[in-house]
Amino acid sequence: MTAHDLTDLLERVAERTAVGPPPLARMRDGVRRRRRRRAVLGGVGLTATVVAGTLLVPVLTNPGHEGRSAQPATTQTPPVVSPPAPSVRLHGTYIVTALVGRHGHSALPKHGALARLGITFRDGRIHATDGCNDLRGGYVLHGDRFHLERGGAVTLVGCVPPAPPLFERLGDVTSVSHDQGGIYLEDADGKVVVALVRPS
Amino acid sequence: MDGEDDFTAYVAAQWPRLVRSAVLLGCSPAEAEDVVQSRLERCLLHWRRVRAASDRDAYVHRVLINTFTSSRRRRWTGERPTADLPDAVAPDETSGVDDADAMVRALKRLGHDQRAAVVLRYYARLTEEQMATVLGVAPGTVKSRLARALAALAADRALGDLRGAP
Repeated sequence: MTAHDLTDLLERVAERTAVGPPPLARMRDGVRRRRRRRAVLGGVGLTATVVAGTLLVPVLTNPGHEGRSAQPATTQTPPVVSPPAPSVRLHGTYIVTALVGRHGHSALPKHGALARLGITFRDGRIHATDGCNDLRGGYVLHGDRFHLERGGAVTLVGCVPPAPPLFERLGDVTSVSHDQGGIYLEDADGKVVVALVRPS
Repeated sequence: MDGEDDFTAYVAAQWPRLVRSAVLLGCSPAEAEDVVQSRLERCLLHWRRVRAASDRDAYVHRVLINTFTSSRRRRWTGERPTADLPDAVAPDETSGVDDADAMVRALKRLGHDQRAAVVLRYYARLTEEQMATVLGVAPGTVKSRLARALAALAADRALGDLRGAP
């Protein structure tokens, strides 16, 4: 195969992927958010340094000096720290590509007609399906902290074979991260519980 | 042209090729757009540095490849269940009849390094020197990876059938 053939084939493979216009506005928004976050974190760091310096300098220059009588650190005005912007955007429908059971192994069905496990997040509402039953409820995402609200409704169809423990594991999720376009729902130990991708 | 305009012009010209490069490297189309978007955001954050780079394409591809490579080293717990993906995220098996599909399958059979080398050289059309920069290896390593990848593709049965070879 010549280099020309290879390039031609790769071009044909690549052109099968429909690509929309570049999301320039979203990129600029993303950069603005990153810069704001840096500025806030920088301000917090600077304030912490100033406060630490205010408290430590009298102690270091006068070892007998009790820190209690130092100038109160409240003379420094701390910057207003807004609540963290969601670092992960959960919105839309995802396919479950990995589900890790509590024993640490895959809990996805391994053969037969693969049930489609999926989750839709929309405006604080979650709709998950384990291929047999559905869960509908609410969730809270604050920064990367995730919490599935209690009181969701689950259908109770008897499933043979038993459905994978998607709903049970969603209850263990405490944080969300993303990488390569995939979303990872993680438990309190930081272990991935569920991996999600958008349907292609 | 100021930094933002320069960035806009660059992205408008390169976006489809970067997204498709990511797909050829192994991302799903949706993943590819997310990855390229997030990497370009990072480039915009440091656009002055990117502009100052002697080879902007090599710089951007390097960011892309590093992201892709690090994602393959990502921490995981236990086995990788993605080997048994639901069919919705698997490649479209039903359309596996034409030469482009044969190429996709052949790419998947290559190792990650060889696949990256083929995509960068024959799709992104980087020179071997640029590839050495992007991959962080010596030019000789680029040559040997490419040679091995081409040998593997030449021996690939699906592509052989495509050429009418025995």
